[in-house]
Amino acid sequence: MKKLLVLMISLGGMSAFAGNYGEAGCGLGSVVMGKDGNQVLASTTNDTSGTQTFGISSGTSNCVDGGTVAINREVPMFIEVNRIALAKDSARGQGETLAGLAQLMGCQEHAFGQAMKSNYDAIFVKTSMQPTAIRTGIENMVQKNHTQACGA
Amino acid sequence: MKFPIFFIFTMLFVHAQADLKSSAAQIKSWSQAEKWDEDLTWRKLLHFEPTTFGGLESQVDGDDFFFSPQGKKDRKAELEATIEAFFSQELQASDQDEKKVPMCRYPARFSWLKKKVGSRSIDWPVRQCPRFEKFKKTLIGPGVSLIFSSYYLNNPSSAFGHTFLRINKAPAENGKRYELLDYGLNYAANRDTDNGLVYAFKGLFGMFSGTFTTTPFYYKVREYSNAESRDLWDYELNISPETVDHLIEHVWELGPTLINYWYLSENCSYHMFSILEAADSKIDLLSRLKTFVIPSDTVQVLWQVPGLVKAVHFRPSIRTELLTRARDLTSDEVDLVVKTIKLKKVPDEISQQSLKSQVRILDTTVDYIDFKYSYEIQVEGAEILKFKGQVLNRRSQIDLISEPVKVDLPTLEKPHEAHGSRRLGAGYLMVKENASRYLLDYKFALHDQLDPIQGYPEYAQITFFNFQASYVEVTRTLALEDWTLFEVRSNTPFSNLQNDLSWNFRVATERVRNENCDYCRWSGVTGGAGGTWSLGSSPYALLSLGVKGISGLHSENSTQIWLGAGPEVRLRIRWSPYVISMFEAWERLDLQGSERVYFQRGLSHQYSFSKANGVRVGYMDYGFDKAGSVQLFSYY
Repeated sequence: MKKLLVLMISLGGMSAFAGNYGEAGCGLGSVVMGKDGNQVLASTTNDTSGTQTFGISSGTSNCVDGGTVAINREVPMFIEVNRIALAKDSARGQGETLAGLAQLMGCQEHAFGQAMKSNYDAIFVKTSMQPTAIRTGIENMVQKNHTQACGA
Repeated sequence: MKFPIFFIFTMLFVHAQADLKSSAAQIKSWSQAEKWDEDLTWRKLLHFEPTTFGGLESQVDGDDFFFSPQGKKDRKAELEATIEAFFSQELQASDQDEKKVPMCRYPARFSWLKKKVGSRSIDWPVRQCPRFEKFKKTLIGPGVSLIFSSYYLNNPSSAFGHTFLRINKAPAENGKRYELLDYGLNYAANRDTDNGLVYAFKGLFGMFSGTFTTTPFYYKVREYSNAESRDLWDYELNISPETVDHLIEHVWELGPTLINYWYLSENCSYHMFSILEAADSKIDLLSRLKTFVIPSDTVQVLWQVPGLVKAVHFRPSIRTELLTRARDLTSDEVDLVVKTIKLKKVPDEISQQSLKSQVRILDTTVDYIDFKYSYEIQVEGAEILKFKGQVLNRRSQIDLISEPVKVDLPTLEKPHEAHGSRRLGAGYLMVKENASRYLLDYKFALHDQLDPIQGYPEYAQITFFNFQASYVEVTRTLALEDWTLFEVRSNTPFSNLQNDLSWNFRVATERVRNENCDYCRWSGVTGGAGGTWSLGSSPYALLSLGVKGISGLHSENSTQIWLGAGPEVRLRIRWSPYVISMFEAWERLDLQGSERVYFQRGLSHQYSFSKANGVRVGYMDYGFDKAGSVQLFSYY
């Protein structure tokens, strides 16, 4: 009800929800799903707020080039955008996000999942979920332990 | 020696220029002779569609999209200008910025032209387009799916659903598909205001520009599945890899330009169809759309094209996943999940469970947190993260891999089998003394709780623009009975893991009946809140109790403010997807206006013959007056 009153009366003010994400420097973390819950007429759509950086052929930033993720930024961006789901999958040792990252990094899915699970504390807890630190943690893990068969 | 080399280069250059010029002239002459400008693919590549006043015109609004100044209206002029541009020496130069090179900027037009020329001998300009090649290589795959993100009423912006395309990459070496690594193609409005009313106005009248974007599919999953708890329906299309190539080429052409966005017609769903037609002009979708395009309706249109949909897949939202996970728990495990959530701490007694059981409890708890606090968990330092961190830590220490949740495709919710969003009705209302009348109904969208349930959420009702007029034969009077601008009801039943309140809200003008007045009118809002309980699953029965209030202007002898509130009860029984009954009662004390207690109750029942037709009978008792009605409804 409250949501709806907000919607009918104020119909706006979504900036209040804009969080501060994007620590890894890609500046895309702030894309966090436009909290557009307050627009009746937006119902047929979702606007592009925040995703302009994905402008096809024109948009360029340090992470996006012409509509796709820039070369060599695929892994950092995947980690930054998906870190919440990645932490959950890692604690469980299994999941779509974990499998996606293994594929992106060229690692063997099952072994990578096991390793992420046993290194959960080092990768997600000790890093306070900071994207860059998570990535470094994963890279260290992969380097130390060849059983994940990455890049094979 | 310098002179001859320079001379040779100059000659080569002049020669090449002459070649390009004559190639262009040659192609133009073929084009004129064979009327290529009337080719359907060319028309679709330029987005020429019939206008309101007849004739064809491009829907693209950015001037940068056309080579010819007449391009928006004249596709022959645009074709000739395009051919000239492709063969322009200056624009082909290898040091030219790729963004300005016509064949790099318009790869779909270029492919089409090459196909038209066919085996005839032409010296085509040769030029690498590395930016476009990278784009294509990143996106490419053998297939495409149209994705429909379904309704989630607790987020009204999702009321009509949303559609976008996803390019499906080929399976990896291990034979598996990784959907998260695919890309989505999306068309959306460029919002330039935070003022909702301005936003609504501009949206309705095409005053926003819209842009096509590509986004990694994992963004979409995070947005819809995780943050908004909207299930995704995936319609895998039966199209050739060549069509996928053209789709990517064409989207590249549209990327930098603008197309005005119309919320109710040329919207996200409309342009998903327009780019599919541009990629393969044999696909015929736009002609099947109605004037007003509602995303859920477009899914039905897609479904009706024979052979176009290869397969339907379902991607559960975090809410659906949670509810599925919870179904497999024993009652002890459910109790422990509930306890954990209440304490915001993993209780000690959890260690007495087997490891497998602990896994189920912890996994369900984390899904619950992700569902219930979907926004909070993304805010750094949020209180809930301490609790979530503790549960995840605990989970990571158990050396067991979780079983993936298997969610069956929910047959009752298939959006492609839903009734049309518009409803037309004709009926008769019986009241005392010569006041019985004929009824005529029109509803623009979408679904009320007696309409056939197939394809819609069980717990929701949403109405946009419902209009009811009446005609009394004896007195020959035509009157407005009801005009509901907007109505939403959300009745999610309580369960161990869901404690959403039920609520309702309505903005309307309607005819009111009371003892003093047969034709008074009230305009304003009603709203209420309460709880809903499930009373059984066959038949499926929901009981809602709550308090509902009314406020607005009421015309009796003179216009006055009306204010009242009181308890409301609703019992809805769904005997089958097509047979639904509802009992409702509302007692209300009017504080302002008439200062009396009113009690109204009624019973209504709808029997639908199919998803397209149904009959509804109703009986209402207003205390001082009673009314019976019968209505025939048609959905389209």
